[in-house]
Amino acid sequence: MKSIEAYLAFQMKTDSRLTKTEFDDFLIWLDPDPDRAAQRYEGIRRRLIWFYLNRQCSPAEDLTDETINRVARKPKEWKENYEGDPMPFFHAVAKNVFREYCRELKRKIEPPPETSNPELESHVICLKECIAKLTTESRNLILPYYQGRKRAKIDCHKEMGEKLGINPGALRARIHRIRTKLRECVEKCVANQAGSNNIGSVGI
Amino acid sequence: MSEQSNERILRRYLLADLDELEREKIEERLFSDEGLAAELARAEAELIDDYALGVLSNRDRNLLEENFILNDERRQNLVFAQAIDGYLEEIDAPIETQPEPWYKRFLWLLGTNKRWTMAATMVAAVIVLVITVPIVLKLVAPKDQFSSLPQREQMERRLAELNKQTLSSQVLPTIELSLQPSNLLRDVGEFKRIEIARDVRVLNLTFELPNSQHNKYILIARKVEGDELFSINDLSPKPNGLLLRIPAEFLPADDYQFEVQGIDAAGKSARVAIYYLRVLNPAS
Repeated sequence: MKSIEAYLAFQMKTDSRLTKTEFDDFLIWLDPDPDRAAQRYEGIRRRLIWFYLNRQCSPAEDLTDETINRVARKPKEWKENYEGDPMPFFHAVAKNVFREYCRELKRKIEPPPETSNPELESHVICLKECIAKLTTESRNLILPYYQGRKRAKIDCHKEMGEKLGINPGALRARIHRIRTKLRECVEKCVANQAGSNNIGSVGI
Repeated sequence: MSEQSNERILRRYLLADLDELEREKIEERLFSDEGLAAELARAEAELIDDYALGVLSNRDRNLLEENFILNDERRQNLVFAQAIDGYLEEIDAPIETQPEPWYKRFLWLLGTNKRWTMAATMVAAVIVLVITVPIVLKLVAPKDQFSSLPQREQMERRLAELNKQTLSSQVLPTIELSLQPSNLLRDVGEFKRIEIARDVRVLNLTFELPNSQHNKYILIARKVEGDELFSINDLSPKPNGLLLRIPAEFLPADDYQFEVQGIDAAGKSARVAIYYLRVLNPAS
């Protein structure tokens, strides 16, 4: 109960969204180029979420937004006079936000799902569709990778890399790109399936 | 820092299994080094893969369940990895092409050799190798009844066997060493140094316990970079601490960290002490 009260108090205290001007100024401060600013913003967001999750704060996304809002609300003059990379500043603000709110908010969401649930079944169906849409080259990388990993070969990158003549780091990066695309495809497919049962438009 | 040890430290970070100082170091890098975020994202995806594929150690599995699945994004990623696992179980035929058996390649080689003397020489050489190599290996290598098991499992079984024996039944050359708990700061000065002579087969280590009142303990051995080597459960304390016999070959020259966790009445474990040991190459 204590944690719920603390969480509600936290929400009331922080429910002040940024104005459009504040947000635009903030993005310009991150980078004058809008595309690069958006990338920087995503990078900062991702890091802050890791920061809070590492401290077992389940409302990590909310705390991340609060951290970004606090920095974004700094006066324009302050931002103009700020020297150096803004990234470490977010880290410092996150530590303060954590100190203020997080200790009492240790709260977990659902435990890991069982393998037999319907959600998993729809994922497997979509996965088959998405694997079929991969290029042969990608399929021949990702499936042996998972098979190797399943045989408890945690270092299968090294083994596969040697076989394919690629260094393990490059192979990891390549497999991660394929995994990310595959996951995005599966997520879209599952969402489509839930909506209209139509997976024909999903591509990789 | 090597790529592999970096990956292991990131994995320990994700499992919330680093002390405050180590965590701070990682986060300072995370908020200043552009490349580290990409590495952490990969480490996170691989950790989830390993959990879903059932290849994590029990300890990491528990840590992940306790400290990791905290938001919807991670939960969704886990469902995706579990779907991969389900898919792999559905497909019967392995994707990798199996290499041709060695004897078929050998017979083919013999078949292409028309000169019988060459073939006979090759056959004789192979027979000699087949007979002598296992004998030599058997003479050189110590007997290992667990050789077909994965390395960590082999180590843990050997440790269990060794620690079941009574002290008087030990006939192997040993070294006795007592380790004091360290504070959490890692100074080089805190490493207990030891030089293990080549003929020493077993280390009898005593881990002195701080004021801790537990009936059972877990000991986890790691390289200081975070590479977990083995863990031993259900250790009972003796008046002078925890006693553990470790084959000397398990600790080649390197820096090691031993973490002792106490288990409370509810079965929950908590860190009790950390010990550092530096094994040096014997002076020639």
